[in-house]
Amino acid sequence: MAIALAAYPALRVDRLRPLVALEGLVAVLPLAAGLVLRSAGPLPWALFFLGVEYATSLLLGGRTVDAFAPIVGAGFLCLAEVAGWAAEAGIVPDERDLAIRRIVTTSLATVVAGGTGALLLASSEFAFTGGVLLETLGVLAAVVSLGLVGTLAWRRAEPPDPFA
Amino acid sequence: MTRSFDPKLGVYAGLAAFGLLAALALGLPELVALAAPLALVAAFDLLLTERPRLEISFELDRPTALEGERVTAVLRLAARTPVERLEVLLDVPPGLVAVEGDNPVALRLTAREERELTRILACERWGGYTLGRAHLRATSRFGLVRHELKIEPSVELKVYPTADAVRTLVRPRETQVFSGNQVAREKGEGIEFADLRPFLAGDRVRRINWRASARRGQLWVNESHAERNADVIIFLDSFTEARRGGSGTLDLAVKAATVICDAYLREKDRVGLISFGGVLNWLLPGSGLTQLYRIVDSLLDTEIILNYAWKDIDVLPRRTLPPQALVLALTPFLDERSSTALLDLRARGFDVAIVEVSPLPFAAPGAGEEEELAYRIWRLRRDALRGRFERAGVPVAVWTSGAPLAAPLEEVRAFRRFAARGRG
Repeated sequence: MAIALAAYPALRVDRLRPLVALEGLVAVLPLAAGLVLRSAGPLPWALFFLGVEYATSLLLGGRTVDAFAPIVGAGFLCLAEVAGWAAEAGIVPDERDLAIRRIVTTSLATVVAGGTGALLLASSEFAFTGGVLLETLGVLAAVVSLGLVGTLAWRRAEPPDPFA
Repeated sequence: MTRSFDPKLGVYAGLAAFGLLAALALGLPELVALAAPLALVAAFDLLLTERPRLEISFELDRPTALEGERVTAVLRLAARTPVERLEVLLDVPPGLVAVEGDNPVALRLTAREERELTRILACERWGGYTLGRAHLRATSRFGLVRHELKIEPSVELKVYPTADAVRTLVRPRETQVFSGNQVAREKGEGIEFADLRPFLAGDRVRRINWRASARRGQLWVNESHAERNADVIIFLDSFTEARRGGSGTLDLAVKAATVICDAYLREKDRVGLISFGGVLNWLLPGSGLTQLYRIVDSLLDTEIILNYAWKDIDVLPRRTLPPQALVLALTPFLDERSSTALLDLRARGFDVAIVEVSPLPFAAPGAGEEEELAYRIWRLRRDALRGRFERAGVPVAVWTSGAPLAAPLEEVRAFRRFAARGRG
């Protein structure tokens, strides 16, 4: 899935394809390292570089909206969930019914993510695109997210994980 | 129960924020489709996760076990609210090993569901354990929010040491006044023949030795040795030990002490215990099954506690060392304080015998020439110490891990027989 997500932006651009492909490679390497080392540490970097690669391909691809963006978004979420799951696999084994439930939950979340992405993308096609109010709302959402990250980053160090 | 957030929440929120900002800055609505699912998942988990309510109990199938046996531990969980994912880690103390059942394990509980997690624990080392400490972590649907709970230990398990039984024991030189299975050196009422003497008024007729009387022309009677009990003090050196992997000299000494105490108590002797180490521990001599349990329970608490304070036998209460008692020491000869105390006991007239629990299998010589030289010097010093005890009339028998305990005990007996003949 990571390879597909990394290959898609490289395939959709006509110019500077090696540069985009290199970004994809940079994204896949930490993911592979995280999975091999069973560590969730490098996974955010993989997701970050995949996002950067996709953004680069969008910038190079012209002004047409990418219709496959909801699928990319869904795949992005699915990859984050599955990679996180794979990195922690073996530390605390799941019971069978719990593992099945997790697969179902991840699948449903992927589908919902695709649907939400499609809805958002469709809404961006309407006339009110780019309004000051909407942009302010977007900035506000981003600031709230950043605030959440900041709060989490400033939390005091927790004791060692007994499950690790 | 403490609430915390998984690092994944920071990642999701960070990526979502970055994606949304980038979408705004670059004018790329596709990035919103990329970032929005992450933000939605984070919001979903933060808003819909409720504090789990759990009732937990822990029990063992029995409170005591022998080394090598297995006990069944059951952790009962009852959920009042649904728990999407509950990770359960039962803390197994060193010396016990979980052999069956996943530990840790993740499971799901619905509202009002009760579950029993059964774990089979192998008792690999003797000792007293407190079981029941468990870490529980309830995580939300996407694992972004977690509630943690720590259960404190509640159930005690005593694992008794096992070792080969011994048939022959070291006999004390002197016996006590109570009846027992030891043949006393004094003459008295008993069944063991001691001597002949002329008949005196008041002697029982059944004691007359008719054959000797017929030969000598007057009445002669048999004299016999009395059957008495003895006092035995087990002197356990717990100053320090040599250990490698899961075994060490203290383990061997405790096993030997258990077997020896059991054997002496079966012979109706009174047995006491002195654990001479960083922490001094003693039991006054006593007899019977109750005393065996007392001793074994006391042995289970034996551990090496480092202490640099000088200690000699003056710190021992007088009653722990009754006169004419046999002091049977189990020591690895690794601390000068215990060997000095034993020599001191001998100098004060106690009947001392030593089983040296050899530390050599647990202390290999080093690789270099200097390390080998140091090892040889150390062994020579041990030999010299052994010679010092033997010159003081104290038998020292070396017991190596893997050898039967009867071998050093027989060696001590042989030394004492030889020493008695030498004195005669």
